[in-house]
Amino acid sequence: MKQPSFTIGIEEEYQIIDPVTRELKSYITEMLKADSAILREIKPELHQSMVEVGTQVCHTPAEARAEIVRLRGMVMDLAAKNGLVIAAAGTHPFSKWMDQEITPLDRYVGVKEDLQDLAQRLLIFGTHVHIGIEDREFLIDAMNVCRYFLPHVLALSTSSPFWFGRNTGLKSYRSIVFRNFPRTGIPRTMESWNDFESLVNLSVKTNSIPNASKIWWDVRPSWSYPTLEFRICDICTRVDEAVCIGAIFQAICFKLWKLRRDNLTFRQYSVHFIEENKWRAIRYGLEGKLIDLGKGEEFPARDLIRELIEWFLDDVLDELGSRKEVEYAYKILNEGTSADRQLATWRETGNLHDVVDRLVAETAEGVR
Amino acid sequence: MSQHAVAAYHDGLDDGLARESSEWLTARQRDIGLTFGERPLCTVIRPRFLSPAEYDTLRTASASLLGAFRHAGAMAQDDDAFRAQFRLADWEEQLLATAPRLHVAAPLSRLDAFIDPVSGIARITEYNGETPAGTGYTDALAELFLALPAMRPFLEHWVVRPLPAMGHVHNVLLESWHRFRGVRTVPSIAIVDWDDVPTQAEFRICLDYFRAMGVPCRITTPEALRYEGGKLKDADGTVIDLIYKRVLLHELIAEGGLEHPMVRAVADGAVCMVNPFACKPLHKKASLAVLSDERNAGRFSGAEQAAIATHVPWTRVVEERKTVIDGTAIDLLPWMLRERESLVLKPNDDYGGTGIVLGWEVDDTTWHAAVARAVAEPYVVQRRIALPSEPFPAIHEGALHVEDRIVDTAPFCWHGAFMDGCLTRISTSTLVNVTAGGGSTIPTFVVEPR
Repeated sequence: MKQPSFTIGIEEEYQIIDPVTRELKSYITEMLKADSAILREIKPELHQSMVEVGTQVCHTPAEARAEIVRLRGMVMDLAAKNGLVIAAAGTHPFSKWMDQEITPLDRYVGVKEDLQDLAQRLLIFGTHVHIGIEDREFLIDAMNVCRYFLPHVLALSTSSPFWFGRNTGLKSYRSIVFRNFPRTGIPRTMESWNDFESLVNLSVKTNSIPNASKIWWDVRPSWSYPTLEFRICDICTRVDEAVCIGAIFQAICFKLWKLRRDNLTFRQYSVHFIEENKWRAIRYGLEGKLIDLGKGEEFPARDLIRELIEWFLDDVLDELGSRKEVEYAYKILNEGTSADRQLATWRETGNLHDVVDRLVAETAEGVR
Repeated sequence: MSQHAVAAYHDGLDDGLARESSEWLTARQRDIGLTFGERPLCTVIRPRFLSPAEYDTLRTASASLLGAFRHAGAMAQDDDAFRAQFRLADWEEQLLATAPRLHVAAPLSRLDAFIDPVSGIARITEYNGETPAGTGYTDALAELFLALPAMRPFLEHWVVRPLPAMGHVHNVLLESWHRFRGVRTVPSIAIVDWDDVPTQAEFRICLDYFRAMGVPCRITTPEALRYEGGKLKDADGTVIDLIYKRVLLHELIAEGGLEHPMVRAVADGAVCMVNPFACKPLHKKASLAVLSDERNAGRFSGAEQAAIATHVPWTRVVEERKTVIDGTAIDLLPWMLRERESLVLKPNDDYGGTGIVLGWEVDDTTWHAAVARAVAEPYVVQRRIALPSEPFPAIHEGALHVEDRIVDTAPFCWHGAFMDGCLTRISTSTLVNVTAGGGSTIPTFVVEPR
């Protein structure tokens, strides 16, 4: 079996913000009139106040970092020309979904028609990480096994504690909003690539979906690329956080490959308890406990994430050249996620405008 | 291919962009303390570019040579006769005899290399096995350069991969601690050096990094340390578990002797020190002589010998002896006197370029005197190598100038086993050493066309 490439690609969805009102600003169609070279790199999203970018295929997390810096810088410059700024957070602290305009492109109008208010309500922003796995059978194997770690990584990436101007009490409210969509959440175990393909084919045949791109699981075989796509995470506010998340997913896949190559594997666990862990990550982030499904006991999330890095991933980090990026997770464990920082600002000032200002500043850290 | 990247970068520069970039870079370096004394660490506005193939070649060369260094370090610990070739001072021998060992002699190290401009082969001129500096500087500079205005047009057409190194420092320190104590607890780290050294800015970068990773860390001086009740303590009584040693041992011993609290605590195993005393033999310039000396060939494997032959310039400890160069037997001292133009003399253990004599830059009288001194003290003689240069843009008196600079490649090495990340130093002078007061430190990026 040929070793997969384990390349990394990261997609990010940014908020376009009016720096005076701090509200989301429906402006993507205006921005897209700008420069044709930039058009190749940015994509409109469902809402006009969102903009999506994707790195090119990267070989290392460090390379992905340079790409994200470049892309954020490009979008920031474009926004600045229009007197706007951007922010990276899973939800906007107070802008309302019913006030947002849908991007007038056929595919988004179609989504709105299909999903009605659910689509309008989808004012959430995520990070999608693609890891290059060309072998389809291993891709399914990796997808099955890595589900266990998804809540751990979600806990590191939470950035959506506010919704509609309220502290939701959750660290990743984006996950709750997205949960209302069909075909989301932790996927069931797949027996093989054929099993997955059969599921897709039957779904298409029964007019459930036009193609596999409308399966929005937390991890899925990409419809467009030979990659395993991780979709569980809120968008990371800081560049280094996004790169850390990407590096962890890459290291998990690479470690699973090494186990598989040596005729070993990691145990698979039931969706029920993985979903339970996901809920805990959504609710408490790093402050709560996750269940160690191997031991059948709960432990502080921080301990299990540290264990994931020190015991499970450590021996592949130097081979991948991603030690600094993966171990950035220690900084997140130490200082908190974007959600924790947003809440801290809100508790200090009581003003959600200050939260937005902090998000804008952190989004630009190391970029401009 | 990296030449194409250089040309593309320079094509994207004009006076305005260059000035904006230079002013921005200077200001940001001052903001975060990236200065050497008053001077910004980096005075040019282009980073170093390596192609993926060039970087892979450097990694392969480093890995093969590190095997030989690791082997030599292990032999030096156990074999008195072999260790004698490194010309350790008596106090260094005493330190080695008493100190507990770590998993390798030099967990943190840095090679010093010049890439031959014709063959592309890395020639290793030094092995910094005692206090390899520069990781914090290069990581911080890499982050600044990614946001540099002059990089923006380049990034549109080239993929850029930074080579971060601080993660490795963090890992090496923790891994050394885990192996030293046999537990996976988080140690309390002290970065130890004199408070007047010009590298304080880098200590602060390291301090911030370790603390951000959740590791308790402080910067302190040898004078502040006390050894009480079997524990090494800082002035405020905080117990130190691990010393990230930046102070040079010979300066520490000159100041405090073998009874210095830090020395005693290390010798007693009360504190873990990285690098340990055992780094000393490898750190000596004589280590390259040990590797390349025909008398030691039988001690190294065939693969190690091949790596040495390819990457280590001919080097010998200066002494009265017969030896061999290019298969020809020579009487070393008379031959050295004749071959001034092609030789360099280096003190066995100094830093910052101090005491180095470049034969082609001095006259015969000076050279003869230098050789006489070299015989009296431990010195090595090394064959001159070709120095590579590249054009770098900088702002002088408000205008953009592109000038050739000599490029020194200093790959960072971890656990004595592999290389990742690279310090690049550039200079208009033949002696490329920033500590000596000249030149610039610049970040290194691996680049390829989009």
